[in-house]
Amino acid sequence: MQTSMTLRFRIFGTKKRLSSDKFYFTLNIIALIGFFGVLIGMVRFLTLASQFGAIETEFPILSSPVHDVSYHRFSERPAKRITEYTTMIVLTPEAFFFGDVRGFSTDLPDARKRFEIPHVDGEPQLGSTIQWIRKWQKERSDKLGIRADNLAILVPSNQIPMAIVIQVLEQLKRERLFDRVILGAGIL
Amino acid sequence: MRRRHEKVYTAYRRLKGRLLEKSHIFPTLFLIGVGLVLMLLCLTNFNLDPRLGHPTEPLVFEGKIKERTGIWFAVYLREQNVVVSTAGRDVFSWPAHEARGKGYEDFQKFLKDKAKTILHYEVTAENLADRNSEAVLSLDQNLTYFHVKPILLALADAKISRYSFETKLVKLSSQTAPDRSRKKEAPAQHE
Repeated sequence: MQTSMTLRFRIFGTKKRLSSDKFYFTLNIIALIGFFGVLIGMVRFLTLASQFGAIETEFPILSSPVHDVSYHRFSERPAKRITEYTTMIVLTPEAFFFGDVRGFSTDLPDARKRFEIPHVDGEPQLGSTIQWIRKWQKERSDKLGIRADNLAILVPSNQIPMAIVIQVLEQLKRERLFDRVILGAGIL
Repeated sequence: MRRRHEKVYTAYRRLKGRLLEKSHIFPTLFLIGVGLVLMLLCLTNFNLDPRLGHPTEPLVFEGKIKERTGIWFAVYLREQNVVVSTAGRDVFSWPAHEARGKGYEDFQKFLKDKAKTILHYEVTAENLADRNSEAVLSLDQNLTYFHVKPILLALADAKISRYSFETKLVKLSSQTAPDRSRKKEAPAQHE
């Protein structure tokens, strides 16, 4: 079938336009921009991290205040002090032990100064331990007048996984039993 | 004067002819390469997460969301060695059974220098903020307390008193494990 001259002329003109460098260059640029957009999205997706939190703790510091001779006489006072009555919690693979610092040091031979909460099927009974610590602190406060200082020293044994140490540390603070929990070592 | 004009006109015509010539160079691949490099530079120079590339799996647990602190490092076990890698990609390692040797000494020196640098910055910039001198430890879940104790000692030695353990947050609120004690017995007196 013979195509008309007009149609042939139009086809020729279209081919000439499409093969023009001008359009080829524009399409290249648009494709590149789209390609870079997809690449940026993929790379950014890979580099985005999950949300992370932190469980805080600290080392106790020996207070050595500098004497201020100026007008204000500023002196820094420690927020809390570790005393012989500070609660100490020892975590071993078999049980929780709690008492005060004196019960694990100078009064070590005295069995009445420490308490044991054994693990059940290898699982630490932190809930029970916290309840018994509360009762013990209340009894001490009522009978001996020793007030709880909201400070605890947690001493895990070497084999305890850090995951458990961190959870115990946070749970002790979350239950509002202690404001600060210090990690200790050297007793076992 | 006329010859000078002719020279300029000839140079102009040659330049025009060269510019009008069809180019056989395809700059597409070159542009892709330049674009990729530019993209990587933009992504790495601005707010790159320090956790990228560290093979630690921190504990999945609720924790306090904090601003970025001055000191961050990841701790994990690899082939019987404890490996510590910092946000600045410094790597220190020592044997897991005892914290001794050049790796541990270098780590202690690194912490002391870092604490000194932070203090110097805080004093000169008059920018005293607790988070500058706080250390965040991203611990792998297979570490025990025995592996972490030398790191804590090194922190104390470098006079860094505030530190925290990094946890991965979950969207659902975490629940504490149910207490499976059979009865509420009085705690045994330890003998």
